Amino acid sequence: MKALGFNIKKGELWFCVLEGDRAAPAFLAQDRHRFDAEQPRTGLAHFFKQTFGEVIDHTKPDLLAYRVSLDANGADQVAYLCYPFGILNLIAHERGTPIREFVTQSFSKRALGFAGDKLDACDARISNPPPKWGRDGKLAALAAWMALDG
Amino acid sequence: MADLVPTLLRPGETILNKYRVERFLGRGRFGEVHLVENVPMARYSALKVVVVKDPATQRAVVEAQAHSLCGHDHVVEIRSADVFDGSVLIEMEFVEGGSLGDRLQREFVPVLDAIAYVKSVLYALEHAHARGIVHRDVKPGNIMLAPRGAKLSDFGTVIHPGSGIRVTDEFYRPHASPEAANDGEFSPASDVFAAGLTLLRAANNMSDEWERLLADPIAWRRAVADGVLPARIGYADWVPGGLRRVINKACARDPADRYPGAVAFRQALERLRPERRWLRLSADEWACDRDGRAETVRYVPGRRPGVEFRSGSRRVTDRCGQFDTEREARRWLGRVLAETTLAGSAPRRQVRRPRTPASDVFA
Repeated sequence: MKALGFNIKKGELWFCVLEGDRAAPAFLAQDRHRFDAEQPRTGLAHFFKQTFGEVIDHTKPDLLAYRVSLDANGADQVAYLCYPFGILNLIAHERGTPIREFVTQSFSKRALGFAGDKLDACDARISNPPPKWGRDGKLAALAAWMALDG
Repeated sequence: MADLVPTLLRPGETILNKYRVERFLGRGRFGEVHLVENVPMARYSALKVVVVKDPATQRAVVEAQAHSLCGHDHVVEIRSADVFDGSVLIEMEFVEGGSLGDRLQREFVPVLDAIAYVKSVLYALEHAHARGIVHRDVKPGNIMLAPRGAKLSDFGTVIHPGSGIRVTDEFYRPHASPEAANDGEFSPASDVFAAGLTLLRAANNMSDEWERLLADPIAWRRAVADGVLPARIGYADWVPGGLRRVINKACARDPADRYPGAVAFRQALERLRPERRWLRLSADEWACDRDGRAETVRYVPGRRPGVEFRSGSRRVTDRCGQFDTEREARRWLGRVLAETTLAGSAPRRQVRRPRTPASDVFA
């Protein structure tokens, strides 16, 4: 089972690919795509449609997952933090790929089976992690990880 | 004079009992294209007629490509392929806006438009590369301008390096990277080079200059073989420094110094933040709309030529200047355009103050 997780922050789309199962996730890849968060909505929608499709084509996941941020303070932030996942859901629907949604609170100690911080859990529990791994990549990884149990 | 050469199809003619020929659209190295109505399907299409030695094989390859590549937002849709009278007829989506090459001949293309077109094409190239296909014919004439973005067309010269499958040995030599031109090594990196050169031509608004360059085949072939054609072309004054750096990397002589693929090239373009879509009204005057406010920059002739930058009714004094020669003034004009097209693409330099207070000059 291979899961592709996404996480968005202003100007950056992060993704991470894990395989295995919830109990034994293994890191495969991660990367980010930069985007202009201040471009018109139509341009943003186009960027996310093309980039999600491109990443899915490349990584060929069995399932998709994403962390949706609840931090948006206005319409402009909603446009790049939340709208893209509507597009991702449509792509998942068109391709017949299962998709799961998470919020930060979903990554609980119980769900992760790890007593410490959720970001530390990525280093401790995911095998073959990359040497440099920041918060945003880990949040994408956590979404993929939580999706691995199907 | 292409329209004086007899075409393979005539307006009003009906082909294969389904295509009614409307008008001739253009001619390329591999055949000609007509606007047709597919009568049973009640739709208009572009019909490409390709004369080849083995049309059945060509048709099979076109159909395979159609299945593999079509459906992408930035690839011109191939609808069907037929064999007719020793030719392959390829029915394609008709894109009303014509090609980027047509637009470059017709009018000035703002730098920001050129970047947007090439970004779209890089999505298409990545889509093709992910399927092991190398295009080999990326050029302004094969970038079709649809209402919702540019689309890459003409996959007639593609190869599939993994399997060795190729329909033709032809490729667009003026855009070939040195390793492709010299050793026949085609890869995604050679498409990146061609896309970089396409962006260079579009940002420079090269049309007649390109034809003049091709008029000396010995010189351009040598420049292609040496990988110095982009450097020989150079940049128009108005091309921003950030964009120049991206194009230089895309067109690097050594493939190892280039962007590794279309994604990396597109991401580099994505980092350029568009600010002003400058439109050249004349050799002396440029205009743009920035957040609903009209901005202009113009060359002001006179005993001491100057440059005037206006944002709405306000003069932007640190962008204005007065100079001893026309050449200096025009260089300043180009620099102002280059530095204001993108936001934060280059460190802001200390603005050169005019030698005479601008208020005295344009009073």
